[in-house]
Amino acid sequence: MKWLLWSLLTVSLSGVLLFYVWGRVDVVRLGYELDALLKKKAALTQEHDRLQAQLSQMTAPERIALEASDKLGMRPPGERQVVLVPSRPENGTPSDGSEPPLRLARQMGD
Amino acid sequence: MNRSFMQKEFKLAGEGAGRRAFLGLCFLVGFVILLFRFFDLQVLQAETMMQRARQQHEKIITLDSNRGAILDRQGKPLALNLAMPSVYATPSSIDNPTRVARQLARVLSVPREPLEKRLRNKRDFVWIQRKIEASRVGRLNDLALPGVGVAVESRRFYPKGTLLAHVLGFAGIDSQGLEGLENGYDKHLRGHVRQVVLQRDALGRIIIPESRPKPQPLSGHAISLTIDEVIQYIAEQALEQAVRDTKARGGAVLVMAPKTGQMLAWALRPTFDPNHIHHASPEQWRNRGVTDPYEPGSTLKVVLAAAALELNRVAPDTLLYAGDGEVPISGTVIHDHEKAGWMTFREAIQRSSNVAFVKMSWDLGSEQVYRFLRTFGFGEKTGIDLPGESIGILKRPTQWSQRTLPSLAIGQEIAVTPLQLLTAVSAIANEGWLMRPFLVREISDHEGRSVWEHVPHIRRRPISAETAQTVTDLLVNVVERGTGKRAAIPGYRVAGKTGTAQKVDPETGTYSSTKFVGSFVGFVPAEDPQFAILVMIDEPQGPAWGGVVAAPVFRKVAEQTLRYLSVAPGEEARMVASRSRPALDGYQPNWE
Repeated sequence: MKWLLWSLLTVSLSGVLLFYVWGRVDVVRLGYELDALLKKKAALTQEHDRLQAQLSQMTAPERIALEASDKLGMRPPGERQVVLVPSRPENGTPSDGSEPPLRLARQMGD
Repeated sequence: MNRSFMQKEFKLAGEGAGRRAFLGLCFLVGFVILLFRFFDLQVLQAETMMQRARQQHEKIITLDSNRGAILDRQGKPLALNLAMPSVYATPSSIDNPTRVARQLARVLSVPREPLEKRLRNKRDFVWIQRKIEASRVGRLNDLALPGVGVAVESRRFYPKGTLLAHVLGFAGIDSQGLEGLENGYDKHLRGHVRQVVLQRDALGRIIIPESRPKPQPLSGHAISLTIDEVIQYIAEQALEQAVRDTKARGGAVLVMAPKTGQMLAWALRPTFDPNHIHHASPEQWRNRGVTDPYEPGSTLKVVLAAAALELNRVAPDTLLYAGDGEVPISGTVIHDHEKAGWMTFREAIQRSSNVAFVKMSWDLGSEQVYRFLRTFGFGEKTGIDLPGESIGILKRPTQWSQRTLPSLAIGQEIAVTPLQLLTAVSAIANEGWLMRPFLVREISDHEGRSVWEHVPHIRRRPISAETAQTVTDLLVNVVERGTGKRAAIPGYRVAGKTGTAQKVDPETGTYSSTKFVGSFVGFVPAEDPQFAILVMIDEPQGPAWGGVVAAPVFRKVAEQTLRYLSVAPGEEARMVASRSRPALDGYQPNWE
């Protein structure tokens, strides 16, 4: 009986110790996993920053202007391409209010 | 047999006891030695051992925080950070420094001798080359050199290159702000550097204790500027072309929202790329918009006209006599471009008559001229949030000679910064209120929460709203009928003034007959000014008149900016358009 009691006590103690060690080992393992994930996150953040910088370069006004003029043949309107339309007809009849009183009209040819 | 057996056994037993006693003694001695050693390690050498254990288990890492980004008023990045590899070495781990230095020199394209000298250093850690191209790292890793490693550092990157370079400035290799806003707002941008202790295993891997979260670096704050990237580009392009066409030494285009003091664009030539500062000289880094005063010439007549009107010494239709276009001033003669005789005050400013303004300055007197120049902000800093601002040169009346007062009337014997002049003219556009110009509108933390917002500051009111309106009308006349015709924009009322100033020749100390500064300063639309622009072209070759070299630049910048901001032509239409366009002035100003 006494022998059995001692055996149970030893097994229980060993179980508790094993449980404690298992917990610690698991914490360390999770720590390694967390470290690896953080490294991955840092790498992705770096990649994000790099792409952000690239995007910023690509959307710079200078580059857009260059692309618009070189690839699409666009250019600012010339002096005679912007025509001011008077807000009221020359005979003085007031506008009916359905259109803005003054607007820009663009001609397609120079 | 039994007896002999018993004797033998007894003898053996006797020998066994001796051996056991000997063994026991050995164990005892060993145990005592162990105990002593245990006591020695645990008690006598406890501190040393604990220190050695800490060195093996713990790793101190420095968390260098990222600098905050710099954004334009629309949130577009103008300065951000990129991760860059840096090569380091631990000289104590290198057996053959000559061989390692030779291989490193080949990969990094640097001279071998200084590298070898560094590798023979007795220090534990030395940088070999910092912030290198990522492509070199692969070749370096292939070599697997002992005692050589690669660390990741953060490097400042300016994605728009030269755009706004003088205002942004740049940061050094240790991420410290050295010039411009990078320097002026360094304490906000830099964030905090922290050292954190972490546990590591035998392989050097970091073990994160369950009770301690992964430490995060405290990033610097982001700053949002009042500058608009598109208006900045418009200004830079127009200035670049003007400087190229006139073969000028340099130039400036500054754009300000007069009602708030917000700077919308700040273009200077010559310029530099803050990503490659070693390719430019400190001369090119200097922000001439605030550091370099120059003689403003006739653009200063705007201030004198305002003073004379405010003091009721003249009205727009007051007749002034300019004679035959000459006025003698203590040993010298100030000329007009053409003989004029009698003219109204309106015509005097329209033609930029030197003689009329000299006579008007005599009428005003030294004290009043000085008082108005000071109240318009000359001879003091504007208070803009940029380092290195100059106050310009404005002598006190007690230091004036007989020539000073008439010289001031035509913008000589005074030196102003481009920003001072623009701020003064903006006061006229702002019903007489003189604002403090500023560049940073908001500071926010790394999570985007606003921590500080700039509220516009009124410095003072040099003139009344009525006087400001009268001066505005006179300046509109300058553009419609006078020297500023090339600044006119169809459909809009533009107010402005030209200026052509002779530069002082540093060799002779007298005014040069070949070196000029051509300038134009004005605002648009005159009845509800959305922005004021100063254009300054330094030493243009060929015709140097402000109305010829600077006014067209004003027109180009203003025309495109009006279109960009959807400011419709004419008063009536603009009121309709203003309901939908982005407002430039969303603040209630504070008094200084």
